[in-house]
Amino acid sequence: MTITAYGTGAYRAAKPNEFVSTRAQFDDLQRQLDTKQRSTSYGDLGIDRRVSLDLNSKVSQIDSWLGGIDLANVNLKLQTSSVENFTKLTSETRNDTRSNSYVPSASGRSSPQVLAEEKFKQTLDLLNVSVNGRYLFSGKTSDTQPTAGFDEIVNGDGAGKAGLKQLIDERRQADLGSGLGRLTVGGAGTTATIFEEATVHPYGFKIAGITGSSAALATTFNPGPPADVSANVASQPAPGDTVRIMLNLPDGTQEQVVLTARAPGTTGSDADSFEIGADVNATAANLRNSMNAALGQEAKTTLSAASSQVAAQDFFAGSLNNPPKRVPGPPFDTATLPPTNAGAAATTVIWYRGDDGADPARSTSTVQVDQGQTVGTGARANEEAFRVGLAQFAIMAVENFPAGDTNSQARYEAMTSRVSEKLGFGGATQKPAEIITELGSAQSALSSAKERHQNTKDYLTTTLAGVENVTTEEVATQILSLQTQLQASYQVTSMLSKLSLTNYL
Amino acid sequence: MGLSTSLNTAIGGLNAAQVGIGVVSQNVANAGTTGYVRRTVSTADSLTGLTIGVQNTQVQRLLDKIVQHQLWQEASGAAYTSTRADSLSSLDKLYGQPGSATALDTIFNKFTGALQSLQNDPSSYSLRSQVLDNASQLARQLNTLSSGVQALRSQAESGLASAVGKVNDLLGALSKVNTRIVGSPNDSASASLKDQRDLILSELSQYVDIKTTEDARGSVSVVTGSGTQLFDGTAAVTFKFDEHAGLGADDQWDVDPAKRGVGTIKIVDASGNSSDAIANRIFRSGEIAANIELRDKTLVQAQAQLDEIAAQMSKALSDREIAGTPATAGAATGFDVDLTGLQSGNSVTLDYKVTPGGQTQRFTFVRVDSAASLPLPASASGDANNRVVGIDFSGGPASVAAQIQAAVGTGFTVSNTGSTLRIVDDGAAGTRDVIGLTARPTNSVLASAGGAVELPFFVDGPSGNAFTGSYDGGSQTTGFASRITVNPALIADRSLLVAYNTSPATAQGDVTRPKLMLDRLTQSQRAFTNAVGLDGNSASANTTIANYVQRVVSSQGQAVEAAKRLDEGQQVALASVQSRFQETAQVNVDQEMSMLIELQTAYAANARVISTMKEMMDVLMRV
Repeated sequence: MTITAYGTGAYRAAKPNEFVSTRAQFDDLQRQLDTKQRSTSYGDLGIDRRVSLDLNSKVSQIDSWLGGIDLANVNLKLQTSSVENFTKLTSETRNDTRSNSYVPSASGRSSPQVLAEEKFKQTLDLLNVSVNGRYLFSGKTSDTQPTAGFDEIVNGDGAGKAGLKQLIDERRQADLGSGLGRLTVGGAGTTATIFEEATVHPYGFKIAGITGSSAALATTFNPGPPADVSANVASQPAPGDTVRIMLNLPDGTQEQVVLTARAPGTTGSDADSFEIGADVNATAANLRNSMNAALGQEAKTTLSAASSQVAAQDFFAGSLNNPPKRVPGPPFDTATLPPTNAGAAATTVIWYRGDDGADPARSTSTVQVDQGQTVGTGARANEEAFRVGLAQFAIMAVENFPAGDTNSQARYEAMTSRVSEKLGFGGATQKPAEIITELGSAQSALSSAKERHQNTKDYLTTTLAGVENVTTEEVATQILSLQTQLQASYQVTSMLSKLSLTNYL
Repeated sequence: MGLSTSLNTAIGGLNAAQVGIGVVSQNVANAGTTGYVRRTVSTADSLTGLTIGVQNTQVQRLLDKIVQHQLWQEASGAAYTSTRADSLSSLDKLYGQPGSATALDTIFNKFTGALQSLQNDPSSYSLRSQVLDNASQLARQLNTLSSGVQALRSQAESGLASAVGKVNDLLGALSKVNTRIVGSPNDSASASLKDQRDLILSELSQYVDIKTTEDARGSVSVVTGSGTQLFDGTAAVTFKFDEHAGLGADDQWDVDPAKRGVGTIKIVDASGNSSDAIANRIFRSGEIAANIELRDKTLVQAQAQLDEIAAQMSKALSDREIAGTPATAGAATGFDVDLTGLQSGNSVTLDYKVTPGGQTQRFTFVRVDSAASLPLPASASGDANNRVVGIDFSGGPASVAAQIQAAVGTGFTVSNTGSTLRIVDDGAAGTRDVIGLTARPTNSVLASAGGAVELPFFVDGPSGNAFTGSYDGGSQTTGFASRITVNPALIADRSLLVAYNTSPATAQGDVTRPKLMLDRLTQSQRAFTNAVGLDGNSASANTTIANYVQRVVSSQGQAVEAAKRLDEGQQVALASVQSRFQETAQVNVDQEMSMLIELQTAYAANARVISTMKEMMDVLMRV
């Protein structure tokens, strides 16, 4: 350790010391000029060090906010474009499914159906979009790919887990029962009755009412449950008289079966008319036949379509903590217990693997943009809008309409009308546009926060530069004045040292 | 008066002039010699019988004694301030250049920034790595700063060792010179000896602040500023120093040799009695005093500040807050809190109001596991509104309740049911209102079934011991800054930065844990111990950790600046005394030359007298 020279003997060093300290100042100024930094340590920064510490920490915080905003912006843009594409796909399918568009085909699948399959796959890809390994539609489990693959979803994993096709089939069996949608046509003499099964269950048709158009066809409705209706042929009806039976379908739609009396000897489809017989008993017997035929046809068309809707809806509602509900069975066609998800986790493909908490999807990923402001940028692939869209695409994709089947057209129409209606996202259903709006408002919150931070940061950086940095002019001026001073000092010292009496002796 | 008398006088004058010229030549020759004091010859009339002559009586050293004493005092002051300023300025450099990547506050800001980013995407591997990298860097910076502080302490320690050795040498040399001065006449040779003596004293004054007195014979006695006799003709005392190598934060000075981890200065008198010079505060100024202060106070405090940052940061992330559940006992109301999980060093706080209208006050009970750890060291103490009491848990819950009851006094009723502690107020009497009872156990597992969000992010040493702030077997906080590391288990499994619960498993994108960490570091107010004496403040400070880091850096900068200013002031004072001293003691060649001309003239005149004398003699002889 050096010992600074002081003490009696050191006084000679006094004058040179001044030179040395001036030189040191000179060197420091030169460093300032080079680095533009006022000092190399907090000690030398003087009273402004508190300002420097404070501003540095603020700038650092703003930097991390800005970094977060930039990252979130990328994610939001990708999310938005995914949802926009999805919207486009749904509206295309909606156009494809306008009524009366059935064209029989050898494969049993119309071109909108083939397209729907591609759209289904495309939607899965859109929902699996990831940035830097982060899945944007997976809620909190952003490291997990949110959806299973198309084949697994539709056909099951081949190792004991059932896919959508099997679930639709099971549900259809349960809904159709023996073929009449779990209803029985009965009655004797002049009455024709339709009963629900004695055990109350959620499958098949549910009778909602009956009306007769004339006094000849007296109807009674017992709402139950189990409900039943009956038509009593009190007297021979006139041709054109109708019996109207209202049926509720499992998907919440209602169908009317209208059976019109037709004059004796005429021919017509049993599914919508009954022949007036020789007497009221014969007419009633015809009516019963007609009921059987009509229910059988409804079951194969609208009930089948409704059944697929319910099955797909249940399937796509499934998630890891809440597996899809399935019809208990086999046997399925006589199932009476409501669909349950008990044990379904082991036996059913779960299409959505992301997080399924109760909190809103947006809040599953948040970006802190300011001290107290967080913006939700999360999304889940199992949000209602996606679920509905995927279910409709899937139904289109898996159904088959053989050209030879007489019910194909009606069933196709029943399916497309439902698909089209669902893809309208009517009523309280979440619309894709809602998601886009929410993401858009998050984006605008981010951009306004970004602008605000940028301004603050500019201001802080300027202030900080004023504290920590020096201007070239300032230093140059200081160096100049120091130089002058040092030169003068050297000059005078040299002159003084030459001025000695010794020279004049 | 005869001719011969005049001749004799002239010859005396010649002699005097010669001696004078000799001194002048000596002055001129030594104009640049360190420690040389200008000399003059004083001449006097001499009267021997009827002969009046010129006699060179003494060679005098021209100096101002008072200024010389002042100079020595300022010199020891300057040694004191410059030693401090040098050491603190190296400490200042350790804290890094303002705003640069190596500055402590920048590194801390980066760590919190990384946590902030992690919040935005907790599942990202790179963001997790960024958090751990920045945390490791912060821990390493604290380690580096600690070892820097300890290196400066070691430097002070070896500075003391060499200073003590030097003081002993100087006292020995002084003793020799002093003996020769006493035995020799006051001539040119003794002036040199005195120069040498003053040189020794001036060097001595750099180490110790001294006062000197000189008796008629020229013998000096040296006394320290505090009044201890160092030298009285011979060395009155010798100093001994037992240097310790490689100081650590826990090596502290203590009167008790058993507890002492650093060297102490023993002062041994002529009869062999020794006493502790540091305990007796012998040194008040000079390099030795500066090194003692640096080693035992300034740098210890700097270390304590770093330890406090490390400890608070670690505890903020690991300590859970378990609020008590309300309980009533008759009219008395209070809280129950479960004390299981509390580890040594963890605390339970009791907040209460002195009614009516009193302000909220707090008792902090700290768990220790041995009665030997009580009472808690001064560094643990709180202030008037937050009394910190150590509670020995080794005697079981009932004993804990009894100790707490004894600590809180009347107005509270403390009881326990198993490990659940209940504190209620005095009900109807209404002199106290219990408003909160909170246990703060350290969570030492990273994740478990139903696990806590808090995590042992930082641990004590690479072996991964949890930091609880224990006081058993010495405070765990002391030197923690030199041992703090990021939990190796966390580095091995980065997902634990997010996943705190194994059943049900926390989602990888869950923001709870990152958010808690950030909040605890940047938002939560924490009570900082008053022992670190930040800004000279003695009350325990409530502030955020982020703020505290800034305060530490800023107060350190301030201390350095103050030390530098003090040193500058002292150097100015020294320079002014030096210049006053020079006015009399410095050789001025011009002055010497004019003196030479004068002496030359005198010599020529005397020679002229002799030659006149000769002519007169010749005239007389020719007659």
